[in-house]
Amino acid sequence: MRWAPAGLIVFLTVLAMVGGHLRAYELTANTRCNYVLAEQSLPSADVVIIGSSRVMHGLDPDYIQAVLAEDKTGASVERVALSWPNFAQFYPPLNRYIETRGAPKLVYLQLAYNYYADRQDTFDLPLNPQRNVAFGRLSELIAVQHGAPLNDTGTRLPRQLHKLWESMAAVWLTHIEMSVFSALRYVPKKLNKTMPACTGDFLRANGNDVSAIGLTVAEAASVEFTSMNPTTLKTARDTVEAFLPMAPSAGWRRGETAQLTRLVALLQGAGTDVVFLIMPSIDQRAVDPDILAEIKTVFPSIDVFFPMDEYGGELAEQISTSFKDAIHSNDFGTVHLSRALAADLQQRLVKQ
Amino acid sequence: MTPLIHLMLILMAWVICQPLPQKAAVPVLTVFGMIAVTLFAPVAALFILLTVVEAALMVIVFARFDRKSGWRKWGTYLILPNLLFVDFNEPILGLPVATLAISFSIIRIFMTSRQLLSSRKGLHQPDVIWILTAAFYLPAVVIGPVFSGTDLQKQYRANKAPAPTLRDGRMVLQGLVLAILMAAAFGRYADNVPGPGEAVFLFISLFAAFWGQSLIAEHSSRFFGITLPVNFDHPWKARSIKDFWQRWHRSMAQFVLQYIFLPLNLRGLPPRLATVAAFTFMGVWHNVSLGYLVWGLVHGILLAYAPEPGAARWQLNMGRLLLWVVVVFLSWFANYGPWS
Repeated sequence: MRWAPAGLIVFLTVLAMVGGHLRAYELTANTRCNYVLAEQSLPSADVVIIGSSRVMHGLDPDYIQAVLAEDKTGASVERVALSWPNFAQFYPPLNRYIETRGAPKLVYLQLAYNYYADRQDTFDLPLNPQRNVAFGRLSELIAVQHGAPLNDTGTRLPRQLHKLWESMAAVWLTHIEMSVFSALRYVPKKLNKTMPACTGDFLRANGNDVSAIGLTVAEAASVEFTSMNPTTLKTARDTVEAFLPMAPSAGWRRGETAQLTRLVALLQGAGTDVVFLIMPSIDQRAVDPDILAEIKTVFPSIDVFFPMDEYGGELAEQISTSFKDAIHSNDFGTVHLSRALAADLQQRLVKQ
Repeated sequence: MTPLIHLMLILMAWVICQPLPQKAAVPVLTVFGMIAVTLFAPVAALFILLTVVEAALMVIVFARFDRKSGWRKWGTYLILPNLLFVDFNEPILGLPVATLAISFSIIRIFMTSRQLLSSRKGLHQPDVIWILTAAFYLPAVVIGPVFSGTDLQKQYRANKAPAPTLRDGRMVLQGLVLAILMAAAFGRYADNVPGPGEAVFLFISLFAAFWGQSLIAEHSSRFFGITLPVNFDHPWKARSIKDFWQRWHRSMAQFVLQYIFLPLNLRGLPPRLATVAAFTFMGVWHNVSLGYLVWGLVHGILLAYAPEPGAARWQLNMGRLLLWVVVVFLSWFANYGPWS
């Protein structure tokens, strides 16, 4: 039985290869469906909206597409959106999208910096989190990690010594491990129906049941404003009060901005026009001019779009309180934010 | 480093060892252990290496003293406070670092140093390399067992590698199933179990993880012809607290008996108090927290003072029931209680 270890090696290798193909990783459908979207055998959409759960709840690509069609502009719109992402998590799916489907003409890239103070210390760690490790190729993981600075949180020692930072070798070994687990978990997940197929509306909703998707123009017209529950409103306002500033040039944002820069380079390198998107929080009707100036300093050639700029008066007041919580719009908010983006998009497409 | 990644690295080392002579196994596994810890916990690797150097210097210096000298007899205990780095690395360094392997490596470094100094043949200075080997021996690097590097030295010199058996392969697979699938399953379902049932599920999850990884360590080492101490000997058969500690985490229990209990007892501390002290050390070794301090204290007190159950069947069964209630509760208290 000298070769029992060899048998183990063969067994684990087969499991890893099968598991990598099956992709039954211990991750939500949201991650998996974004990769399925990126790897479809279809040409690229004209416009891709990229962002976090704010984009998932607040912008409906189907409705935007319908508005454009109504105005005879006609452009295909898709959304790549992850819940609780840092910028590093967008690199592999976007790279896959560009490689498989080609570069979109235009991308709205949400400035998805972290705003929660209790998450900031480790928001950029690990550089390649579970989503990247599972679905990313080695070249993509290296592109995210190699030479990437981290947020400066004021530690005496380099943050690369932090327990959440992982070497590339550790990352790749973890990838193999996740593939083995994927092979073992595939059948239980299928039996328990915890691995829904990424097709149809579920795919366009980025594998998330709460995503805004599929509003028609007629349906959108019938959505009415409703006041928020006062307790929810107060909680949301208290949450926003404690938000960190965006501050893209600050040392403590250095890692996040570096990853954002890599995303921009990937997209622009493929020939895509990039527009930064700022999604509003509750009550937010404008972006601080200092923040805009700071963004311009760091990214001088990139426009910034803030949907609330399209609105004023009572309607702006209503939209700014059309939220489910501090950061996620409800249907009324989604209709108007999507409409605003459609109007902006129309102007950009006409210019092109 | 998860159990599966640990096994993957061991299997890589096995492939490397195939064209090499049998004696290459121990150095290859030591180098692989250093690489593995560096990949996953570079600060821990450096800290362990510094502790190895510290211990080696102590051994070389103390070996020159008289055998009855206090420094020679007790000086190596100065290595043990290095264990505090596991719990206090963040205030020391200003950021939390991965502390993989430190807890077990330092115990093995200490044991090897003590054995080298107590050898009747005197110290052969190159033998301090076995401190490094004990510290980074790949199969034992994650979760033990603890042993002296001189035990590895004896097997290395004997060069009589027993061939791995099918059972070793089977036990490694069993270890994987326990450490990965069962531990995760019981941990996941613990939330759904009401009341004390949650503590039982959490305990089973902890035992499955620990036993599974111990099986991987012990039986994968046999792929290289090296036998390690067995950590678990059917602990579910334990009839009393004394029997429990002869079956559960045996290598560590042996360590506290030999290196904490015995010296204290020989220096005049009554055996019961020495037992309490030894297991209090064991508790704090797990984690510097009030929860684990109580865990160690209570285990020590029970070992010292609890009567053995009587011979009658009902007494044995009652003893077993009480034993497991206490063991499970203490485990929950130390790991999940208000002072954990």
